[in-house]
Amino acid sequence: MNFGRVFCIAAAVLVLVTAMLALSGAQTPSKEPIKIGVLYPTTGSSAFQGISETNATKMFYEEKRMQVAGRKIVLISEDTEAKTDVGMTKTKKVVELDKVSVINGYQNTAVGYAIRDYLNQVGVPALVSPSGGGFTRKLFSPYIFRVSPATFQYTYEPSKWLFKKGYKRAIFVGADFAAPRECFRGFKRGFEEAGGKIVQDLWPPLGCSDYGPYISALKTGEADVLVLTVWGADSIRIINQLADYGMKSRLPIFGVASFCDEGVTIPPMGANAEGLMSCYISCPSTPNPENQRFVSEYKKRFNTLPGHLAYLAYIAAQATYEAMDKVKGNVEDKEKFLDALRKVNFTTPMGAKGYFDEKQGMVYDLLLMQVKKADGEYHNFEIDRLKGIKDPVNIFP
Amino acid sequence: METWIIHILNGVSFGMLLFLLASGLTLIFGLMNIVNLSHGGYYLLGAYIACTVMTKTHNFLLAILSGGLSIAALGLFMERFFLNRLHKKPLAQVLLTIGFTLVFADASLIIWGGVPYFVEKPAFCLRPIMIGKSGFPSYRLFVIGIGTVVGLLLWLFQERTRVGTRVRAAVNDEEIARALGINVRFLFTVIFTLGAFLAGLSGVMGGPFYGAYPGADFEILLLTVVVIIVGGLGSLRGALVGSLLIGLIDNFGKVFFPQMAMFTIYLPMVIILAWKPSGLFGAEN
Amino acid sequence: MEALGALRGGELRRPMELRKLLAYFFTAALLVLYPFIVPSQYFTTLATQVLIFSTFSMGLNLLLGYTGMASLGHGALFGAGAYVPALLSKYVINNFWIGMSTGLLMALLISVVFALIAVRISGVYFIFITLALGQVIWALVFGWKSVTGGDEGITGLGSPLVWPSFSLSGGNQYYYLALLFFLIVLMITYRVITSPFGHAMVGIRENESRMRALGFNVWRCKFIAFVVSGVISGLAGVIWAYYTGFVNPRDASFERSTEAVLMVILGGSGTFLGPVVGTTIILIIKNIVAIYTKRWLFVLGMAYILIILFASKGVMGALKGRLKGLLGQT
Repeated sequence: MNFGRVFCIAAAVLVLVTAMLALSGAQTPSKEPIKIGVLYPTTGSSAFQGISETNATKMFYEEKRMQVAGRKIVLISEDTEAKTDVGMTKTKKVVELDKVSVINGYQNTAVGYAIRDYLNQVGVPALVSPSGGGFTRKLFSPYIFRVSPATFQYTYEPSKWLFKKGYKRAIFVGADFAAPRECFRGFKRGFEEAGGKIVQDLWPPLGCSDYGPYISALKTGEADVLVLTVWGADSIRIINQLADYGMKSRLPIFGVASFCDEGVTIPPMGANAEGLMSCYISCPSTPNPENQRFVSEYKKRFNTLPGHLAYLAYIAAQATYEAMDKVKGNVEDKEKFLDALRKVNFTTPMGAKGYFDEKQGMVYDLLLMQVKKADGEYHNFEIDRLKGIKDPVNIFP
Repeated sequence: METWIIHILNGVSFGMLLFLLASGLTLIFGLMNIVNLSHGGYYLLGAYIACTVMTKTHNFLLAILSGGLSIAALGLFMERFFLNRLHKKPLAQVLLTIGFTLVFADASLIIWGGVPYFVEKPAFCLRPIMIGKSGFPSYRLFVIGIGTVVGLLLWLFQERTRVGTRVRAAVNDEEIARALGINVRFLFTVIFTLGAFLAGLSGVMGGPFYGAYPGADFEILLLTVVVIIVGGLGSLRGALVGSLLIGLIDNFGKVFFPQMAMFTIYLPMVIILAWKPSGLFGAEN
Repeated sequence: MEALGALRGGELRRPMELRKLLAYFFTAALLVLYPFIVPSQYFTTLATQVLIFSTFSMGLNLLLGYTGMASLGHGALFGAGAYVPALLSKYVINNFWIGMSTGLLMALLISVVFALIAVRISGVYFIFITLALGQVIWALVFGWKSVTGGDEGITGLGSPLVWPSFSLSGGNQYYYLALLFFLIVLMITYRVITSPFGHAMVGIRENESRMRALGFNVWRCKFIAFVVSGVISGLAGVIWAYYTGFVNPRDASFERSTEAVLMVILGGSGTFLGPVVGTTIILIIKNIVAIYTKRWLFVLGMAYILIILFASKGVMGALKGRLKGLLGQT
């Protein structure tokens, strides 16, 4: 074993690696552009979400001509693969190597929670969009701003809306992991407070391939509505399988959060999507001018309708931009920049006011939607709106 | 009574899907001792291709043929140019086949994007079959049917034709087999291609059910491995029994022990490992 | 004449030793001073990961490369090493040495159970059994939500004191911790490989029945190899948990297992430094190539395929062959 030879090889590798990293974009500090880290999962099972989020982010900053207050903006886009350790490594890369001033990213809750301590320690502001409620609670950090509504936020009030609409008994089906469990707590409390009753709750595993056993166990005779908290491929599967068993026509169905997602889950559901209700933050068919502009621009660029997560990423970019603009591009003054972030107040594409509450979670207008057929295609249409819904931290600490 | 029938049919239909998946893998493994970890990748590509074909033509038979044959061609390519030099080198096979899985995964991401796809069901399967008051998906009955047909054909192939015996001879002792005039190279290629065809077919059949999306390849691989461990490597009978067993246990497990849902797939496997590690019908090696 | 020749022989020998000594010295200096000579903290981050995963893959190499048993379940052992300190810090106490020792103990326990079940199986089947066993551990970690936190895992491991006035805060400390254990494991594996036991392992890999005929207790050798590699994997897991500050079912997943196997094979299974080379290459592709192209997954896959086609013994395997020719050594 010739150590000298091994040493030479190791040294050569080190030089090569250093060169590659150095060339990848580190610049000498002077009047340099503002670097924004864009960290979404662009490969793996969340790829379709991460790609649309990255696209929406790029679209926003390009609309602003990649500059704010006369200073150039550079986007550093990395793939978190929706995996905690990869997310951490990429975060370290953009913070330590690229020296970004702010991050837009983290759609996966586990990844978001994992990097919380690190971001808090290095003091880089991040606008994140997980569904878990941790950031406005135990995992609060002055540097982290959650632009997505959290589990309790989008189930507590909507459950009361459901009851008022005449659905008094509900069956709740949720994928068995943390976020749906939180959703259940939020939904149950709100629903029961309004006078409703949860007659059954079922918990298929995440990524369940066969919902048969659960579908066969549904007590459809005893309920008025079926509440489903599964997402991504699972939502498509459960709806299709419900239809296969002839169960879909037996009960109205209410999907939680991004259950009915334009361009993602609705097309594969096909005709089975008809009549599905859901409650979340965006609806491409809503005719207000800003929304229509956003939707047509997005469609022109990416050949598909923007889903909920694309809206969230866009909103994160909006908030970031407004704060950067308010401090006239001087993001190096951390205190001022953070303060500006806390005080943002802009209009989202849905025509709602975008601002953060005291726990740095965004307050939302929640849209109640139903899928209807229009021009031979199935889309979400707004049927009601709950305005200014905050994360109910005092009720669900 | 009818709920029990539904539950049993659920379990059997899921089991049949597993059988389609496992039959290809056990054929390749058991007969040729090749570690093909790109089996999940074959499933995924087969499902994606079927999706595209169904969207354009709405002809399920065409989807089956295109899905199965294209993956068979892929398998042929991989066996001819890559795997044939790696006989008796399991580690190299592992690396190579995983490498191919990653390439397939990235190619799928480029071609179809990351959105989950579900193959359209054939027209005659769109309405549920009524069993008493409850509906049961007719597509699942279709899967049971196809699975049975495939199983019978494979059994005939293995037991009744000379190809089966020849392959076994060739695996046991290649040199003697060659001396007896058996074209070993050709035989291996045929078997591998057949296994790949079955994998592609299971992609088409599983497509409406399970779906095609990034990550499905490794999920499918794991499911298939569990079946093979339970049933025994290289045994067709084992693949059938193993898949049905797992399908039924998974179904009833979810119904009666909902907290254990995660384990219902792994429980039979653990029991077999503790009791008879070579599987129910596997050869004691 | 002979006197001259003897003199020359004596002189020729010393420069060789000096060169070797200098090489050792420079490598050591490089390793120790690394965090201070690189332009950014990120290099240290990557290097720490390389060290931790090299520890993992070196342990696996003992089983995979030297004994010839391909386990696809060592991710579970790595994960066990990672989860135990995390669970301990969440429910009991956040102490580095207690965390480490209990982590190693758990890895030992699980390795023993795995080995008892799997070692009697040989060949291709062994690959699958280990995969399945690993999955059982994963399912446990993922499913037992109330204890392990399920898919969200356990975060906030913090920076416990390793010994007085040396707490694990800041990137550099983790680098040195990882380096320390890497060197320890390096020495252990060297000792094992060069020992009679190590030769027995290779003998089993090459021709099991002959070893049996020669009177070796083959099962016992395999068992020990499995358990040792398992404990080393667990050790890597412990360091990993403290380094990242969180654990997640992914740390015990099938993916972890395959990653480690790939690192060993790519670098050269059955070679001493192969795992280190393989780990470095794979982590470079994942992190650095990924900066330049979205298609890093494709690049990684192609790397695996090309290595098999052109250097089927892995990088070190191929290099060793060349080196022998160049240097005229045996």
